[in-house]
Amino acid sequence: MSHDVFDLLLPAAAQHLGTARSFAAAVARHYDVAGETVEDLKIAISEACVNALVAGSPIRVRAEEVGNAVSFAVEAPEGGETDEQRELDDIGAPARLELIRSLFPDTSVRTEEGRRLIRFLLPLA
Amino acid sequence: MRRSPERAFAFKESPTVELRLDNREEGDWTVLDVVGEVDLSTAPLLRARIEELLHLGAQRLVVDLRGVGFMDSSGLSVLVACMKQMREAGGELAIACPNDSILKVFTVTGLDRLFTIRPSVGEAIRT
Repeated sequence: MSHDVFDLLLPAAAQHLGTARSFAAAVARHYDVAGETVEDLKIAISEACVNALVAGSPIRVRAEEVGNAVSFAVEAPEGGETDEQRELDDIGAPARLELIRSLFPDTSVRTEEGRRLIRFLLPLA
Repeated sequence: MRRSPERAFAFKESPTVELRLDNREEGDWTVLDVVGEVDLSTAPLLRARIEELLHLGAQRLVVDLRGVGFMDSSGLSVLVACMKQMREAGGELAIACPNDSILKVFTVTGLDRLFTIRPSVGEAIRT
């Protein structure tokens, strides 16, 4: 049995958010996921990547087949925000996380070794 | 379990997220047509344009999101801030949006209750 792993690494710039969304949508389509779920996924990925960007971090997304789901994980350094970056972040990390959770209830946040990992599961039919 | 080789994507250059903003008058309403994607990279442009319209004296504003293919909380945040400014100035801000995926960002955050949201500009103006 094998499973797929897809990694995306982008520079720390908001202009790349569209590429991160396209990447996530392409992974979803790879697993024949379509329609509204893909739109939800694009929102969740965008929110998670903004967390990384406001911490001044490159965008790192890992999509991995896990059983009957695809796990999407976005990594950011813990507490790395500068004042300037916080100013960019009007809505705040907790609200963004709630938005991700409302779209994908199986969302977790893990902090270890100075980095924060937001992970959520896209169920496969 | 055998893992297939990892597939890595690294981009040195990404296409820039685009946003087009055009405003027009309909009766005593100003209509701001928004076309493109609204996220952290483009939300400041939307905010700047709405603030410019407020500065120019717009009292009744419809933000037309019919041409928006994607919006996240960065766009929502701008609209909430501008709604607040508009109300403080005694004005009104309404949203025209028929797109379910955009409406979802309003509904899951509960902010749909804060805005007048209608499927078209005509309906938003008549409300």
